[in-house]
Amino acid sequence: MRNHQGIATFLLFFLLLIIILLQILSMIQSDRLYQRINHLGQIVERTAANAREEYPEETSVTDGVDHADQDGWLVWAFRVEPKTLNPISAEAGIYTTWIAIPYIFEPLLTHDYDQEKLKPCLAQRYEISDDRLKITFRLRDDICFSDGVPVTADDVIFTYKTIINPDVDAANIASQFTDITAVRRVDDLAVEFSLKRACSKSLDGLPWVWTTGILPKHVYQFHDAQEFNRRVSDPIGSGPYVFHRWDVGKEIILRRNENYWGNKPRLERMVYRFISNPAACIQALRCHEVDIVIPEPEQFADLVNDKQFKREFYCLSYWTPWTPFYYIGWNQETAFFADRQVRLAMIHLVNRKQIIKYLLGGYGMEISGPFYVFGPQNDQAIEPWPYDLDKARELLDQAGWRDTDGDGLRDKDGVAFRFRFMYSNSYALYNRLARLLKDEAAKVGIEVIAEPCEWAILSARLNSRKFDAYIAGLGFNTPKDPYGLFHSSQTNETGLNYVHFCNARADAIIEQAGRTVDDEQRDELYRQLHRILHDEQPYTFLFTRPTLRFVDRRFENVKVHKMGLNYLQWYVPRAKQKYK
Amino acid sequence: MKTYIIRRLLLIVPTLFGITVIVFLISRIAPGGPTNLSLGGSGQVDAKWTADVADSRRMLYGLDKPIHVQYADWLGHVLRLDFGYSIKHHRPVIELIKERLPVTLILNLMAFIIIYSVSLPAGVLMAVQHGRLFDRAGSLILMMLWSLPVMWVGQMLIGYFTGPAFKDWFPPAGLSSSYADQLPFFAWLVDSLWHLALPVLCLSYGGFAYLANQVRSGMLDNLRMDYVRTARAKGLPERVVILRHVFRNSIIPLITITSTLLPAMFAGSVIVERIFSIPGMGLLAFEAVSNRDYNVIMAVATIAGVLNSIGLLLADIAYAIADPRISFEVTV
Repeated sequence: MRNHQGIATFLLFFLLLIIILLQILSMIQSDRLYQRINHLGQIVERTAANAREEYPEETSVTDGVDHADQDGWLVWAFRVEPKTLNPISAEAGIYTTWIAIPYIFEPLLTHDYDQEKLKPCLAQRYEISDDRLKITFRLRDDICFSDGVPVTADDVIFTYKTIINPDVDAANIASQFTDITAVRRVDDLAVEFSLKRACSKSLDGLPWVWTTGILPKHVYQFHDAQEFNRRVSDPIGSGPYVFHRWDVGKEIILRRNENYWGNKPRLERMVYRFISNPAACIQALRCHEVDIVIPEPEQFADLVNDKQFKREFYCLSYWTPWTPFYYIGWNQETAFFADRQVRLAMIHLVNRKQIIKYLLGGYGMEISGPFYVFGPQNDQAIEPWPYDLDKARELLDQAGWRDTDGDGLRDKDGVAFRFRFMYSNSYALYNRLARLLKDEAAKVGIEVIAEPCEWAILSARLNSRKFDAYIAGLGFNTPKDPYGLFHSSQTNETGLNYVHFCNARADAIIEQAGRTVDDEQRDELYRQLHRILHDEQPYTFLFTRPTLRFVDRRFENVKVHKMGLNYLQWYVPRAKQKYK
Repeated sequence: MKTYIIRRLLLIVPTLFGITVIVFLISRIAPGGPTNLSLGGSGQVDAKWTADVADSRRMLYGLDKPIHVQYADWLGHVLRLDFGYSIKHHRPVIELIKERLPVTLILNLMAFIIIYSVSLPAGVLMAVQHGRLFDRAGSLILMMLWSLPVMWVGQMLIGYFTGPAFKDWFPPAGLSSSYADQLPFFAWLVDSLWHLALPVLCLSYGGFAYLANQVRSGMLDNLRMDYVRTARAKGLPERVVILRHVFRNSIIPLITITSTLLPAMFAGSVIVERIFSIPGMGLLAFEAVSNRDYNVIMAVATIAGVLNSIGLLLADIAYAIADPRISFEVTV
């Protein structure tokens, strides 16, 4: 009996050993296979390189630069992975747009880097009709997509029709196209847009329309809209880079478009790595695993003083019109904030200078209105309200909020001054700001109940107007047209005027600005609006932050233009190139 | 025994039904939905237009139908193993899960192996050396490890071991280097293990204390039993007494723990995945809940339910094998 067991166990172990051995042998074999494939690959590369040296390319080389400088890679660290590379999709967030436009797809007009206006990209020029209700774009005749097919008016029309198609999931992009009534094909290379309202000469009334990427019709056309909605990857466009691969969860890689119709960029590859942990981003930068990182303000303030770090990396901090600003919205349908004096009192409770110094590491600027701080719509003469607790107390007393029942809280008509302050729980900054507000408000006899919420709940409450006050940020899609946020007609269930701001003068100015075509006049109207917003304080505009970047110093031509960084200019000198 | 197994397998069906109905109802009732977009551009966004768009988006995804119709639709698709499309990712849910599940499983499997191979011997040794230095020092160290929060440990590991200060001992994020799939097999294996080292360490250190303590207390109970004295009196070597007799009798609580590990593995370790930027199931499920991505939530819940049920069944069978005294036959 025992013997049998002994032999059985022994045989079992022997079998196991054989299996393990076979496994190891197969691993060695596949290893050898891979090595052979790599070896062959290298031979092919070398032959191709030799061939290229004998027959140099005829394509344009920018600025007489050494041909060998054309092989650098730029590796980004993104905190969030985009869900789609289709720039029209509703799920296309800021990260999708950074990758897709202008690298893979190109628009009719693009933002200039040195001045705040639009310059031609796919469109050579445009003509505005006399009644300013029609714009005709003339496309260049030498443009083509990366697969060689020329770009024509049909592609522009296809892009537009797809966006407004109700079955296509492109809601937030389509919201920017509501002013366009029709698009007409004039000829192969010309498209005419008809508008609802007269446009301005610089066309900056609807900048997001003209800077939408143009999709190739022959690649993206569809029978069923869901087919289009599901095309999240393998984008094909006319831009200077083509899509190479997307390892979900890890990275997206773009390669230079060798068939590009314009000046080819000098960086051969753009790699976007997804690192969700901010500390890991900085570590990856320091190990030179990534080249460019978007740091948190505290990280920036920390490392900008590190000499060793500055020797290896550029520490860039600059302002653009698209940086986010943060604000508090006061719901004017509540008993507390319907009164202007109360709202003014609240702004005197916020010590913005301290916030910028301690919470943002000094990298921020106080603002008093929703417009870009250095732009023409911002009235520079307006000073933000100061931090003044005594003034706040005085205003609250005047408004009738006094502590009549001796419980430490102000009250009026039997209602205690206690309100709920709502914010998204995904930003630590909001948490700290809420606690700061709670502290300061307590000093003047107001109780603040901090309510961190999930984004979905926050958005539901905003839409149903069930909140007292909230803090949020606005950026990237900062509307230059304040209609949605400030006009009184938008205060109902589905409008964006969540705080119920109704001011006849503001309404009049907004409507008139919508009709004005002269840029200067419109800017003047916006400055008046700025003054009204400053006086009425339906929102308390807190501060804005500069754009921060850490960049590896092996890149040349890293210039901070007025509107930001132009990555298409960068290159890596051959001696410093890391990747082959 | 066979009838018992078949009965249990059949019972999985109504259990799953209950799970899916409850998860379905809760996710639908929760405020917010996947179609709430922050519509805001520089166009003159009209309130009525916004309302129309919100409605049409809901219709696009079938969210306007009554709840029981939606559930019946979903059930019909699932029975054909079609878990639908994710609203946020616009890709089939099955694809998303297929990409992320292996990552989570490997991570947790390795953590599992490490935890067990360290805790079992440690627990046994501590029980045998009860009261002596090894036991006391061991308990202390394990308790210290157990009390360190994973979030903090993860950040510390990244801060110290991945930076240039320590000459890049470990990579700061991710599962593999760029173009790793073009490396020869062994180089690829080494690269993957190099990336997995820190996350697995984070996942496993907390489990040591728990498991070692369980083993230790189980063994201590059994060491006092009479049959141990008999075995020693028989002249059996100490090692055989401890390993073959005492240890085997203290396995039962371990089986319970192991059976709960299978579903825990699936749900994933969100924190570690977040800290080390590893695209796994935990993050997928968490994001799906935040975004109210119904199809993904339901798929995760269903698969978790199936695995949980199977895990419990396997545990029950393991009990019967480990201890012949346990029998699931219906007694008259």
